[in-house]
Amino acid sequence: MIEVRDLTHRLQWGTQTLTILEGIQLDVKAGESLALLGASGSGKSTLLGLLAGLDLPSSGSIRLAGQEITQLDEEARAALRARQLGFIFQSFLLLPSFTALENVMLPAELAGLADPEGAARALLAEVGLAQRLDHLPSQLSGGEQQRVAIARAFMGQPALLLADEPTGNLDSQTGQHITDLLFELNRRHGTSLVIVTHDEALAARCGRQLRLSAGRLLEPQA
Amino acid sequence: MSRLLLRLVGRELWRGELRAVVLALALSVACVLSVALVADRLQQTLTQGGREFLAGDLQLRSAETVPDTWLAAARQQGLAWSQTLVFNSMLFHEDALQLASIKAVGPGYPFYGQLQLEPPATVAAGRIWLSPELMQRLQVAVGQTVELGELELQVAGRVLQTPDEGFSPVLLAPRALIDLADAERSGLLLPGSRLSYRYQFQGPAAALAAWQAEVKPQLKPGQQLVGPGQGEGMMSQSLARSERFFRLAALIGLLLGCMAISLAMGRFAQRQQDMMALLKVLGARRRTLWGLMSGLLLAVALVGGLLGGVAGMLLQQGFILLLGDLLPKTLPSPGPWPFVLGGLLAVLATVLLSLWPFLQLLKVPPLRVLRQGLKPGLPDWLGLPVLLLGALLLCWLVTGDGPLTLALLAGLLLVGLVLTLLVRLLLWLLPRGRPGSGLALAVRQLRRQGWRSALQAQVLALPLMLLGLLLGVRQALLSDLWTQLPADAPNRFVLNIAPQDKAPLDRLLAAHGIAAPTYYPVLRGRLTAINDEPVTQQEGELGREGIHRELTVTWLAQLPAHNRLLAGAWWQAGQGQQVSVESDVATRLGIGLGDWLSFDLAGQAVRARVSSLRQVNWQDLQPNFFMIFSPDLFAEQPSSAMASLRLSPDSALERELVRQFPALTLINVDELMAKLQAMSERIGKALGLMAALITLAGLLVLLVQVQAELARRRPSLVLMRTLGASAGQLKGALRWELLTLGALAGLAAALGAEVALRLSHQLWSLLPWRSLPALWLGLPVMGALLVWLTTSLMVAQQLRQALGARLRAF
Repeated sequence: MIEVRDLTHRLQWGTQTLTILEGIQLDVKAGESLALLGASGSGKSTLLGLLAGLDLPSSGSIRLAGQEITQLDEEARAALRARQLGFIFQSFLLLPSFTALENVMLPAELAGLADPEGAARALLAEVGLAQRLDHLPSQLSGGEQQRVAIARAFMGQPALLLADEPTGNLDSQTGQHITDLLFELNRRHGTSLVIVTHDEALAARCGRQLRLSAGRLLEPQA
Repeated sequence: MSRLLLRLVGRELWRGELRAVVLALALSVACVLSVALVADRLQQTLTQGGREFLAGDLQLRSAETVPDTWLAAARQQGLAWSQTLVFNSMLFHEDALQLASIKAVGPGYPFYGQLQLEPPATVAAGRIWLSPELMQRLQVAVGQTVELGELELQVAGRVLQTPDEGFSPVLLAPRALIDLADAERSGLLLPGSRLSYRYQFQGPAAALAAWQAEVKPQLKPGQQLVGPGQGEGMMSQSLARSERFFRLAALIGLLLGCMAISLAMGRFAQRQQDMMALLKVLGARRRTLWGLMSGLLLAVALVGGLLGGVAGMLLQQGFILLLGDLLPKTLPSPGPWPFVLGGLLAVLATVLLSLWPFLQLLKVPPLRVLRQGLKPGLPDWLGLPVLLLGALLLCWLVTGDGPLTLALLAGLLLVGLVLTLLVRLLLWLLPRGRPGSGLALAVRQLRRQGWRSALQAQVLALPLMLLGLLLGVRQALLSDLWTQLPADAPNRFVLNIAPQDKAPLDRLLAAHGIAAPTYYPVLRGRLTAINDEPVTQQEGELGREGIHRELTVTWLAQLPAHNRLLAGAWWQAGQGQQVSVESDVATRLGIGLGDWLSFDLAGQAVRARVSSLRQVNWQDLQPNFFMIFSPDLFAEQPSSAMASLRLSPDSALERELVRQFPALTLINVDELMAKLQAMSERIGKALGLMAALITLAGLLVLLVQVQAELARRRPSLVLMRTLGASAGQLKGALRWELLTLGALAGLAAALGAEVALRLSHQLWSLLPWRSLPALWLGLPVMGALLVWLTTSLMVAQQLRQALGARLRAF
């Protein structure tokens, strides 16, 4: 699903050059789940952004579903994201003026798919929110908002799901529920999963764990 | 995407900042459209009426009859012509007397348009038609007789409308219509009488052109040929001047609206950055994003424009209602241009003022979803020049006048700066308040924000200052003219006094215990040249500036007691060919002592040397003149005279005077003043409506600012709440802060208005100046109340949200 080779990312900070990531080699197979662990500032989120094609690396290659994304322009990367990727964020990132149903329908509507409503309803039922379709995010609890976000992430039937601290804004009990839900859906839909997290318990649920420190992957890939 | 766009529009258009944008846009459009509509309809009355408005294909205007040769030449060219004459005179019926504006019409009139008489009839000698107002004032019925000068005329019916009426709000007197032959027989047309002749011509275009070419070189100063579409001159000066004020006021409204739009759009775009990043992450194409944003802007322009259109139409009705009889009775329906202007304005304002924030929004990097605070690649500072340029373009679109637009922007910036400084100063002077009290917290917060508070208050101070100015001017116009007059000031002007009537008039007055008045012989005419350099006769002409109207001049041996010499010396016996000039007009036209002035007075060329400059108090209600000549110049000149008198109210003497001397015209000063007052009252009210609109625009700007300020302060509110501040405490502090801000704005506005009125008094002695304590109390209270009324709902809502959020926001 993902092949990362010799990935290095540097940022210019005034006259200084900061190395954020260096020499990253990474493979994620279809259906596999991977946890990226590491302290704050270790480069986890930067790596996630590069995997999603939200930014381009200083050097190295990233192949996503067989396509070299470092060769694509922003427009082509957006199209690739629309086809292949789903996202879950720590702060949920739901549109405040859209209902739960409309938030879930959003990716399909952006891709111009016909009748996104049926699929969105079904997904919201899967995450247990069949009764809250018309609620605005402000009318939902944090856990419910993250469930809407999970339903949205599965909307385009993505091959790969990227999650950035999905339980970071939730209490431990709600976080547990969300984790269960995420892995259940992941199993059901056969999606690959990359989770960036601090949470060791969450990481332990993944098939594989990798640790980043100062921009390098500590554990060599098995 | 279309469904997504519709949803986005449906959800966002009437929320938060976009609602403010829509309202501000509607307000801007309404300001401009309403004024443009009234102006357009007025303009159309003047130009579109064309031939109807002139009652002919061509009109010749003159203060005296024109040479017969001109009319013969017209006949020769195959042109038909008619003649009218307008003058003021007294009408009598039994014991009632009334000043009337008499229109005498000759055969053939009107060639075009309709003379509305009731019952329908043709004008004939021996008969008179009166306006309904005259009928009522004279208590006369159809079939009865009225006296006009030496004539007795039978009332044949009512005159409802004449085609070439024009409109002049200071038309002194109600209208009466007679036959031209009767006017000549009435004995009222004396030298020095204020007469207005008009000749209407009808015929083929070629003949008209040939005749015009023949006559034009022979026209004397003040004589004017008017073709269809050139009737602008008929609009009275006061109305033209008010129109300029309205246009300026509309521009200020527009600029404040622009400010609100740009602030709200900026904030909206900023708040949408997360959404934009998310849409990009979810795979939205560039085309989709541009489509969504343009669609949203278009919807804003459409809804704001439509709302503004409706509001503008209603406002226009309001203006027309308030201006009342200052406008013609029937106005044609407006042409398409004001609506095109309104539509263009709505679209351009939305696009130009949203351009930068929306470009920035579209440039938000998708990575922002993972790294909050990541900025778009476009620099913030470029926004201001883009915005200023946009505002400039919009104003230029509305005025079509570059220098005026720049001057207005510069003026507003200057006033804004002064008001900001004033608020900052007042903020510094505020008492600290009891420690821990809401007021103390508020003052501390306002001081901490410093310039930001000052800027916020300034936005409201500007419209409040305009309101204050308006009230001040109105106050001055309404009260001061009356209160300054001495109790024995004259209350009647007597015009049209024939030389042989002076002695019997004196005797009649003496019999009633009234001292003989000073008689001023008068002639009408025009200034033609200064030091032999010809001067302009109409506004807009090129050349050395002249006095653009007929003057009434006099000649006296002695300086009138109520005039003061400023320079030069009054003529002594034996000195001749001299003129004394009123000082203001001398300054305006650049006339100095020793200059030679040339005049055309009642057809006679007169040349005189300036030997003195005089100061005249126009408010003393004495006969006053721009030009007073040495008597040698007019020794043999036939003329009539004028004088002023004080008569007790309802005096029988007034009737006796006019009975005995039928040619006399008595102008009731009280009535005239009441008319002028009613007129300024009407204009004042209409401008008040405009000022209210501007205040609304100012409030909108403030609302957007307060909204942003509350959002900025939300974390600190949550923190204070978490640290134990009660909801009441926080609410109290906020309330005090806003009330103080509003009051400060009002105080600065009162100060600004006072200074501006004082300056206008000192620099141009436009208005008698007097401090207005009502402003000092009224404006701060108004400011505080307005701010509180408009923001209280939002404050409560924001506070509820913030307090509900607790520390989750961190």
